[in-house]
Amino acid sequence: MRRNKMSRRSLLRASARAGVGAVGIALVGCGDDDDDQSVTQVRQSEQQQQQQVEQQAQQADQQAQQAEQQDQPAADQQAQTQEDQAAQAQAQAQQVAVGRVGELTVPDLSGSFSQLDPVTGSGGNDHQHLWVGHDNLVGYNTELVPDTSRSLAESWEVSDDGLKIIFTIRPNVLFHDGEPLNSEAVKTHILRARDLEEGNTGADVQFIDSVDTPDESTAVFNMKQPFAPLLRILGDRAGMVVSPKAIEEKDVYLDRSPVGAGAFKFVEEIVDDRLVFEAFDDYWQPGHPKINKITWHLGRTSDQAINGMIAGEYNAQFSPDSAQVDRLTDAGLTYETRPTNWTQRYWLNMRMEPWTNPHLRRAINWGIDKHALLDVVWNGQGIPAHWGWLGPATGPDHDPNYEGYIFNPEKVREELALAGHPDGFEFEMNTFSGAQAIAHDEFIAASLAQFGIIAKLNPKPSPAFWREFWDLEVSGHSSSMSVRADVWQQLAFVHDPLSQSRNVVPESENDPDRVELVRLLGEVGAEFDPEQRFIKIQELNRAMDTAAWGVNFFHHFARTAHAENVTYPLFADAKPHWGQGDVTITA
Amino acid sequence: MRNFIIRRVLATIPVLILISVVTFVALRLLPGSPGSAILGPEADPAAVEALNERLGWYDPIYEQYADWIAGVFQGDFGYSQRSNDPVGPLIASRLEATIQLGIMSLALALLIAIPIGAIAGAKPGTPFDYGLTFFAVIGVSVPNFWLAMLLVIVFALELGWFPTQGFTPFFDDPGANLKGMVLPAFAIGVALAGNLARQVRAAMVEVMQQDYVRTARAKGLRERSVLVRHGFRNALIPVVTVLGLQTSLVVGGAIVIESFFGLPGVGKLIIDSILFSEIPTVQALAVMIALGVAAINLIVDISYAYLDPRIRYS
Repeated sequence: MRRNKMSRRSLLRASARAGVGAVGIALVGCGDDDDDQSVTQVRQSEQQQQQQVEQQAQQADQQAQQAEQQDQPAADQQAQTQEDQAAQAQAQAQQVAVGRVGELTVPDLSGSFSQLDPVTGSGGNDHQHLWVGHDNLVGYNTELVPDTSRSLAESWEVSDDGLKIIFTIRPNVLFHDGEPLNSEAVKTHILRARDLEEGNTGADVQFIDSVDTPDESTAVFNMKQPFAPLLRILGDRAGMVVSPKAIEEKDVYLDRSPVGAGAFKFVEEIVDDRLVFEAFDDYWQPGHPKINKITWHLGRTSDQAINGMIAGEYNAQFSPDSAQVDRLTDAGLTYETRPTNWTQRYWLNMRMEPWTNPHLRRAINWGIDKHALLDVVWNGQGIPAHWGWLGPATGPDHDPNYEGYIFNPEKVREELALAGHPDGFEFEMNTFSGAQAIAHDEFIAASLAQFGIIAKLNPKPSPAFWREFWDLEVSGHSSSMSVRADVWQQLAFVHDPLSQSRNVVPESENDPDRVELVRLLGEVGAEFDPEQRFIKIQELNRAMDTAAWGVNFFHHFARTAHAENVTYPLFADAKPHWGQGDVTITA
Repeated sequence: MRNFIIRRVLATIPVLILISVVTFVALRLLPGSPGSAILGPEADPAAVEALNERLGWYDPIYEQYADWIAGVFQGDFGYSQRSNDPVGPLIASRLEATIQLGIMSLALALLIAIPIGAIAGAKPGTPFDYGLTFFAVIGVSVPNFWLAMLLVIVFALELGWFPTQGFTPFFDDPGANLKGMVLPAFAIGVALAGNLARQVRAAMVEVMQQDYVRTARAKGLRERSVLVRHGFRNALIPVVTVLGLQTSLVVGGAIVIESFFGLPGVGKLIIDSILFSEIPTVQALAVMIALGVAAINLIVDISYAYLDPRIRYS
């Protein structure tokens, strides 16, 4: 069995430490409210209390270690007592409003999110709201590695054949409606995520055959086939556990009043105006969240967001307009970036001319100077996609020695000649009707024109932009592909005939590229061993580059601006994580 | 007069029905569906289709219209596809910002336009008249979104006197509410003021040439009395008509300005609902706005009769 499990001792130590820490933080938070007390005195008092907390935590650690060393029933009894005390302390901490400081006030760009139900929503921007209200069965850290400390599952084990995954459900977790988290709740959620007709998570959990619940704290996923990406995938929508009571009692996705077990609970949504979540007092992680409230001001334009940030009306913004970064920094705001695998690309409809010809697909792949595109249009806010799909932000899946399509005029002409179009050809591309999207596509059109390749751009607003793509009405579609928890999902989304992006997959089931890519996708998906996965995913990446069912231009940076007193980590998935204890605001 | 009002109200009914039919059919010809509005544009088409089926989107259009209009007569305009809120209360919740914006911008327009127009009209052909007319023309010509941008840059970002956006309900915090509404009201009010000032001026010029004004002067009345009691009061009659028509401009201006300043009003609701293909809300708004414009026209006609006893309706 593969194990990713905390021992009972380490759990005891962690919970004792956390419980005492939470009480300490609560004490700090409940400190003197006297307005006349100087800041210095408050800080000194906080420091003293913090020292006491640390001492208590150390004592709890020592006691736990002693208990661990004594392999006797008495020690177990003592450990049990300490465990009870820790649980009690944790409960107390949860009842008291811990030392939370400030509120996050965020502009949310127009049309940015679709749903507050993780199972039915579809927008890549939904996550910032979803992660605030929901915790995942398996949470991941900033590098997208599953992390028990961020998970509703205390531990998990995968059977050697990969056909069973056993989750130990964390105790003492409550949903916002007061329902307890247990194995039945997990089962109800997962089956809904798999089977709901209007859902968008079915493909993610399609290989789960059934869920057994031998006891309250154990959920056993019986798999139809081994599926290694599942654990990371459970860090995405499918793993955001929704209250079973809410599922039973109301049409969650229509009611838009999510009930999860996240650090913040839903307060209100006023359409196109604001969305408010406030700290959940019974949250399972002591001392979290560290702020009181998050308010998104909905339906803002990019300029409104920037102006609001500069005027101090907002204190955090994700993905600000890259052309206006200087305005933000000039106003004293902090601007941060990190590489991600959020990929700007052309989706080529393999079922329409001219893209049935692989040489023409490769010709445009060779024909774009990605560095120049990034610098001219995107203010350098990304990394050229010179490694196929597996950019540097894919961590262990990235091969720095591989070279994919890097601007090469000779290769363009070579491919055009092989295609029988030495003087070029024409194609149509739907582009989103935003200024930057149009600038992006105009740059590409101008670049390709030197080879006689004429791109006819059709700017379209949403939803026509998306509908025509899904309905196979266009030969090309220019947009981005947001990061998935496991890069396998990104690859499958584009190259699996069963995925939503079936329109970029050749129609013929016997198409050799299609057969090969499906085979390789299956192999990577079934591979648990990291070294073997690396070998197979490299093979898949190369095969995808050769097939060239699209053009990857660059990988966006995750970008954020915030007030100086606000801090939160940037995750490799390029999405805001403002749940759990991620956001800190200093007074 | 009573018969006139009854006839006008009855005449409004077929207009409203026609508007409702046209809007209903036109919205169904647009791309998109309730399923894609609810689940998002990137949703799996199969999921969208399943939801559309469930919401009756594939029923015959006359059945859908019959269901909808039956609901309207019972005060049920359907449900917002994005929030699942009932559309009626949703629109009602947006009236506060729009009504306040309308009142403030009209008040501002009157404050600016009446003195300017009256003085310019009383002294036509003078440099003062030319100067004021010049500014009135500028007020009419400047697009409100451009003016709004300037106002934000100068008074919000540079001087920090007003917020750049957002709305605080009046009863939550009157100070913050008024502070937040000054720039939006100014952005709409300046254009209205330009229009009104020109009307007031033209009416004033015409009235001041009437025989009764000459008679008043011949009687030896002071110029101030001539201007205010005989000139200005009579000049107001056409202005009332124009003011009524300006109300529809306020709604039009509100669409742009509410979106620009992020005010949760009816104007922003219109534009957002159209952008998201939110069919029940757009339908309800079209009918309600038509009803509102018809009501304002009726009020203008009635007030016209009261203000000018020479006018009688047959």
